[in-house]
Amino acid sequence: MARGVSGEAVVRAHETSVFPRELDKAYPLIERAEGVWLYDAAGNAILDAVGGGAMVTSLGYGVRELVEAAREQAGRIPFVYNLRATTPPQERLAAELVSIAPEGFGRVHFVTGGSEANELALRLARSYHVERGETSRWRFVTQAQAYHGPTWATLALTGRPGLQRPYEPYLSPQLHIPPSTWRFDPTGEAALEALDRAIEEAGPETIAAFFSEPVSAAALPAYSPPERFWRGLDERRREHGFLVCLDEVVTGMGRTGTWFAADQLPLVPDVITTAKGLGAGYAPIGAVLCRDELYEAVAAGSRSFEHGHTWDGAPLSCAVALAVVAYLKSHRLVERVRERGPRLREELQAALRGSRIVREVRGRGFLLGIDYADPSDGTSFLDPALRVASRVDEEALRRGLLVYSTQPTADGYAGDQTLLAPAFVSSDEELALIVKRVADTVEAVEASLPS
Amino acid sequence: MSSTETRMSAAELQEAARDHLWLHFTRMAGYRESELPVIVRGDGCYLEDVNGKRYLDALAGLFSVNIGYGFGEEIGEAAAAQMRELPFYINWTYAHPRSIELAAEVAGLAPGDLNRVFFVSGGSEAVEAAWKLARQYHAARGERRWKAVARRIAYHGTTMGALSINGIAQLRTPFEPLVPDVVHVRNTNRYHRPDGETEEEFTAFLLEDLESAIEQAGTDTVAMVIMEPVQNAGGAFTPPAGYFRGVREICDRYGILLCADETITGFGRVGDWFASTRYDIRPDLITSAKGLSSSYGVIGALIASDRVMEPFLEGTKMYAHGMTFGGHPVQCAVALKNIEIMKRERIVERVRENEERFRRTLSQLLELEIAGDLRGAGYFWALEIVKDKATKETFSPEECEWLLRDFLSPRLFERGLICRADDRGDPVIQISPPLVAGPAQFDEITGILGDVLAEAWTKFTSR
Repeated sequence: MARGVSGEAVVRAHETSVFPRELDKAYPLIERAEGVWLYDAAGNAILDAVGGGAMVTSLGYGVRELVEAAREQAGRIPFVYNLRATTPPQERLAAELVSIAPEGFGRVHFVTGGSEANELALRLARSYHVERGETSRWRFVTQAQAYHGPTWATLALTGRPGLQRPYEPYLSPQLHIPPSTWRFDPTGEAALEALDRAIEEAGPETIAAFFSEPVSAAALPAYSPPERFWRGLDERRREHGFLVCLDEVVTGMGRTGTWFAADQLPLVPDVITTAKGLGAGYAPIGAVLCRDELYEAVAAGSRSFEHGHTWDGAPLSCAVALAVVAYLKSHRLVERVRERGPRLREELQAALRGSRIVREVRGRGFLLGIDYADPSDGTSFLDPALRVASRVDEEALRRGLLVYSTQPTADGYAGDQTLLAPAFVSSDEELALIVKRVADTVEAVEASLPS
Repeated sequence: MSSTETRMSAAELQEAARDHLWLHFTRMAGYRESELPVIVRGDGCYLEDVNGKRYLDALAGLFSVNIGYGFGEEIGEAAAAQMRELPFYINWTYAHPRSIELAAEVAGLAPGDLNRVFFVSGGSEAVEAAWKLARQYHAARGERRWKAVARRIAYHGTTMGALSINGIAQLRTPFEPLVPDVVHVRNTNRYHRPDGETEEEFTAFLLEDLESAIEQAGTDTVAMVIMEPVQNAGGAFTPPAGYFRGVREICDRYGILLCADETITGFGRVGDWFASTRYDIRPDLITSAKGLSSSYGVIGALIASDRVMEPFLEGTKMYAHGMTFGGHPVQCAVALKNIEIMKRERIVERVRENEERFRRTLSQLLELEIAGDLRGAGYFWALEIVKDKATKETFSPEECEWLLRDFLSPRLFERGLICRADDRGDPVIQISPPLVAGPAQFDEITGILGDVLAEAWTKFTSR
């Protein structure tokens, strides 16, 4: 008999035919969802404070317009390969994205998710240089703690030994600089120095692009390097001729209160990738947007950008994303995130003020982060053996709340943290409940720690 | 072109060189118009070119002619005798007397328990062999380690593996993609460190950088740390007190092999047979080449400790590396004779005896406006030149180009002094004469350098 169909509210590894991601975990069996609430097989309601667990469902569940758009397009034409043909949804979605992208971004290439978008951005950056005859440019520089995906090429972009180790030495050797967090480098100067040294050591003529999230999600929840860093990066880009690629897989499509988080930075990137909020969980879709100059390099060169996956730009996914954009606009949700976000952060800060282990509550729009520290000095990371991140996730779930905590990393750049990414449609009551449950969760975890 | 039966004239040499010879690390365009110096003979510390012009060779060939140019007769005899006896045989499965004798000789001179010698044909090959051996050593013990840690601006050779280890970006980038996973850490250049930093603080700073780089790379992935006892590129960076003790401790803490690249420093350059002895480095591996034969032959060696050899002494294990010419009998005979001469002439002892005098003589140059720092040991010195002595401000790349290539190199050549103006790091003049040089040569080197550097400063400031 097939496993996983027992009618229980949780599924464990030995009970299922699925190859699960964590073999020791009991996965809640979620049967349906409505608004910002998930319901498991036993009928328990779980408040979703992190977009379906992965910063995806920014419009919540059961949005009739999205379901309708998918149904309608599936009936009309769900798929035709974009190497052979294009479709109205792809054409219209590209035009929509160009209209909301930063000035000078004139082209969009669709993929089916965030890793693919970043993978494509790597190839686009490399292709741009090759098309222009600068074939020596192949290296990418990232912040060590960053996460850009689990595929072979995107995994090479992260500087986290724990993630990379099993696959070494078969990942391409990219360059990493330390993130300029308050702990190590509050001004951004140390990161710039590290960037200079990395560029000089590798040879400036070998650098293809700097790759970064404008506001970090899972890696360093809601953290963004200080303005000085971005300005310094811009100076170095001009001096050395590399590109700046922004990974907006999480932050794109309004998450931080502007269509793209890039809109809030003091530099214009060359490439933007986006994914999660574009399909909002109703379709697997991602996109790479680039400045006209990159397109022009291909246009003046080989006139071919050979990179394709079957489902890239599929009409069904594009139709759903079009409906997402329309919904965001008609309900003025980006504006709501921009206006409501700062207050949400303040509410969360106030609710966590009494906590001894919370060092900082950060936030941009509806992307919030809680950074924990050792209460003995208020600065050091908590002992990883305390498993605070895991305990927060477990305790939250017990209290009917879905959050995303970041595990401490072995390299010493990040300790335990929690990420919140509520749906833009969350009501004030639901946001208040999220804040309350987070505070209760942290309090309970804190109380359970050995003093 | 057919081969020439008779010797070429000076003019014919120029023409043939222009048409056929590809010089190493040389901008060939420079010789389209101007004449290529053709060296025809040498004696002691001096060379003579095809036009009869004499030069004091303050670079010992390339940090390599340790016994100077005067022993060709004696070593030539040894080479000829070996040619008659056995011109060639290999060193795999079989061996021959000269490779065995030289291995025993080198093991006797090497520090501590570095008792096992693997012969190669030069420094690059030795470094290549060291990295491969380090990887296989760990694999033989059930560990998968492959990364190498080296220092910034350090030069370790030109073959792909050794090149990847190099800390000089300009040499690496034309050949990418290279062998991956080399981490570069700070070198022991102290001149540009903040004022007031003590030697102890400097050492701690360097060791912290090394350890954090190893942690970042993954402590259980690093196979080897490779360092020159005194780093050549950048200009004779000597280690601060306690540095190598700390490096050794870090390597031990994480199970990493420590390789001392003694391609230059081996065989007397800093007044010991190996600089590892002088600085008490206690490496697991030593790479050696240049001075091993004083460049009379083409031979290098990788010297391994008993501990490194151990896993290879069991069962079916073998170090899967080798080359036809490794331990070539004629090269071994040359190296043996070179060592015999070095011992007989007390060459290593003389370096130690003369070191202070050499340093004192050279340090007169520090009175020059352009001279910022004099550093080194034994017969291995570098003078860093600066734009502003007070601030230690260095020259821009354009200024370096003019100073080193347009002015200093041709003027030193004119004055008959061969030394190296190098700007792989901050610009330095490298002084590394044959180990048979004495006070007369110290004075001559210092005199010419003093004149030319003073002139350089005048020209530079009025540019």
